[in-house]
Amino acid sequence: MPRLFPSSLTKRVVFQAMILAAVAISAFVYFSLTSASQSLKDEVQQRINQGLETYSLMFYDALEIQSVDTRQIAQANSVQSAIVTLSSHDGFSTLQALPEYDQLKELLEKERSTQGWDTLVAVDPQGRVLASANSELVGQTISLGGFVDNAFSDGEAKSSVEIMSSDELIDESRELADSAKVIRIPTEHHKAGWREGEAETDAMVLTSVFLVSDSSDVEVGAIVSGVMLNNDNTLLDRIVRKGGGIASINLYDARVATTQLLRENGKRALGTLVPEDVVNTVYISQEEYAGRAWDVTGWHLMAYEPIRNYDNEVIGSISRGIEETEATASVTGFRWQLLILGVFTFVVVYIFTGLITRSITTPLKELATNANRISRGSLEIDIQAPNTDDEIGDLTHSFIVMKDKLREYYTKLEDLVAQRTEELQRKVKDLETARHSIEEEKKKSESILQNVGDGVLAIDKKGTFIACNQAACDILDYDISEVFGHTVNEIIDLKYTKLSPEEADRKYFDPIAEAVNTGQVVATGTGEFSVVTKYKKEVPVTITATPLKDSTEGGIHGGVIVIKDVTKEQEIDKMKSEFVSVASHQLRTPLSASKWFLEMLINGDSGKVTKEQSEYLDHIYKSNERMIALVNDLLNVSRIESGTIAIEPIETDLVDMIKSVFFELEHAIQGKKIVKKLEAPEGGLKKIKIDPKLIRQVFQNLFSNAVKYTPEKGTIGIKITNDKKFATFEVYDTGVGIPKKQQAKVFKKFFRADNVITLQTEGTGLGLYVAKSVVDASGGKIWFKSSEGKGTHFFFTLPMAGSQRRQGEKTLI
Amino acid sequence: MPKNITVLVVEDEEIISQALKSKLEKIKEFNVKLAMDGEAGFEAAKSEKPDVILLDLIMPKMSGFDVLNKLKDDPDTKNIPVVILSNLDDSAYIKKAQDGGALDYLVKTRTNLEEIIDKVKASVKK
Repeated sequence: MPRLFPSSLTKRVVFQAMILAAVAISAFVYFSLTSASQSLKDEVQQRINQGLETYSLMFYDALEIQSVDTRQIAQANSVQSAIVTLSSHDGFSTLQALPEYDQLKELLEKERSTQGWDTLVAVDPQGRVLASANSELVGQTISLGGFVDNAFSDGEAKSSVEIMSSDELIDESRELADSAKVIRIPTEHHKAGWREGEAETDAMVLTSVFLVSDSSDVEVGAIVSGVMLNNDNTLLDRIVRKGGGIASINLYDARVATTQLLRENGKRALGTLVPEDVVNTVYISQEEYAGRAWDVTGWHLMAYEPIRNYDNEVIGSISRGIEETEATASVTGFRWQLLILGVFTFVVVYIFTGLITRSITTPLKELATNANRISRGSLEIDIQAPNTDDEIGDLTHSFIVMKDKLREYYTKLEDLVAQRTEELQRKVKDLETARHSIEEEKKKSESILQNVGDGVLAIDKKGTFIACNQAACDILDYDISEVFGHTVNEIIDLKYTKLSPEEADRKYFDPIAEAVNTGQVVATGTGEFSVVTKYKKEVPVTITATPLKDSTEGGIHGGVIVIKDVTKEQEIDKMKSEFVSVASHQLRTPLSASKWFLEMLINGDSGKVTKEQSEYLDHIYKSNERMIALVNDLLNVSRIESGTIAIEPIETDLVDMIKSVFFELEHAIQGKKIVKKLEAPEGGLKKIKIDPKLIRQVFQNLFSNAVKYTPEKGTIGIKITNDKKFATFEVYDTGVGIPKKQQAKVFKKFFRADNVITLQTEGTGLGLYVAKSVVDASGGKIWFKSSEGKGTHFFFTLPMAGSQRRQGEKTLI
Repeated sequence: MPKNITVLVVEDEEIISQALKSKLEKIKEFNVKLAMDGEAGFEAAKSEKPDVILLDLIMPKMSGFDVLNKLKDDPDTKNIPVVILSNLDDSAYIKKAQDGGALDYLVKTRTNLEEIIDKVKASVKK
């Protein structure tokens, strides 16, 4: 869409002023022309009305002259005597034989010709023709619509415009009748049924009747003269020649004489009909008409006057007028003048508006140019001080001030920007360095991840893989690209391989789902699972699934899965456990044989033994028992180290368990008169899910150590405390304590403190090692405090939430 | 106490079977039979119809578990109480033996001879 207003201020002001000027000038021209035209029309109309009056006067003058001439003829003696004679003659058939007839006819012919009339007739008092200038016929009546009778009955001469019927015309002469004929031509404005095509056969006639009397003053006849108006344009031509415009005589509503010409052929518009408005005014309302009317060829300013006969009936009209365009022709010239004046005014307004606007906009333009330069950054321009005091001067002045301020700010800003840029560059550099180090870290992490021997995979919340290392792909036979974006179930197909009768009925569980669902780390043991690779190969693995928790909300947003190919471990493990099994079996066989034979010897089954012998046998028996315990401990250690200990958590009342361990040791405790103490938390300790067989072993080991290394009348005891996360068990004694130097080795295999080796012969040095292994596997911690000679405090914790289940083949003995 | 209780000891280690035989034969009612491997053990069980069987697990020719299964599958021997006497102590073995129909499971190094006699006597009573 084009812009209605130009963008330049000058152009816009000029444009708008021009629009205003154009509207004003147009309005002025329009109203001037309209009023001029109207007043001209009014004037013309008045002139036409006057013209019609003149016309009417001329028309009735002609009738008056005719009547005077008619009187002269009628008063002529010869005419009088002839009419007296002829009217007194009886019968018309013989009338023409009379000499007076010939005399009268000759006279009438002569007078008609002289006067230029159309008819001249002598009639008797009944209106019967005595002689006619045109016709040889006599005796026929000439009535002229009763006009002749009226004259006789009134007994005076009369003149009027009358209608002569076609019959009367034919009686007069065929030529006359023919010349009267006018064919009606309706114009385009006439409705159907305007008798179009028909001929007006009557004639409008200026008629003058003058009565003729005999000597005794009796009316014996009359002279009737007639001037037919049909097709007689003489009078009209004369009028028009003098006054211009058009003039017509209308018989009824048809023009029978006119100066108007048809447009199509230039002939006189005879037979055309007057417009409907005129018919309504002139013929129906019988009034004069003045005003605009459509006459034949176009709009005219017209005046119509009705023509009445003697009986005061409207039989036609006379009209005078002028074509509207002709009437207003002078206005057209005026129009041109106005147009030129308008254009001139327009130009003047344009020039002045331009000048005025320019005087305002020039300084503004200058300002705009300067502002534009400033906007492009040229602040070093010089702006001339204003030389006027007006608003623009003020504006320029303010602008200069503004520019100077701006320059000032700009300079400051540049400094600031430079400063900030420097800072920013420094920061970018720092960031770049940070990014580098992050990338380095990332590369390192990736490299670590990729070089980890075990398969490591990470999943998001939906179980879709988001990280994976080469080892995982090697195990699973997938490409890294195949793993990304897929879910755990699509890639990792785990097969539960526990087939021992003990485990066979245990329901299958999914360590990954378990970890995600419980939010806890789930680790499978060796030999529990195989993974079915892409090529359907089964690889024995251990799975460690670790849920990734949101640090704030604690929700789980994914997990890390570590897959370890344990093919070799499994083989070694199998070999090892077979070895341990066989070795322990092999060791146990002679040990049990020794045990039983010693039992029989001690029992006296093979004869009585001396007291000394019995003492020795007792020593051998105890040593043998120690060997058996050692083998058992070794076996346990082997099982712990193979990682195949099963942890089967059951809700357990640990206080009950402690009491039962105390009970087992009751004999030894009482033997040494040791005081035992049990301190449970207030309100007791709630049941914890742990493996009772294993934890019991911890208590057994700790308590048996305590009893073993506490002198007579000493004290052993346990103090249980707990918080939300952990239960803490403090097993203490007032025993020999552990030498400081050796405290670091307490939980090592086969550890025995220097100070107890001499004191006690029993002890394999494996009890604390086993205890630590069990506590660690159960999710707790174990530590101790000891001072030599005063006693030892062993502490260990168990999670209140319970131990995690771990499947394995073995339990401890 | 029923007289002439026949105890079948199925044990490949001679020293162990000797110890058991020596102790068990001190009891007058006990008639001790020895078998030195699994196959012989099963045959002896079929022929001797002992009142109780003390069965080792690790043996040549046929393992104790197989012997136990065969004994329990055979209508002639399925009602003979079997006490496992072994040095294997994994819970898996113990469960397997119990599932196989063994009356009891004794670990040799943890069991006195007196306890074995008590077990034998108890099993015969049943």
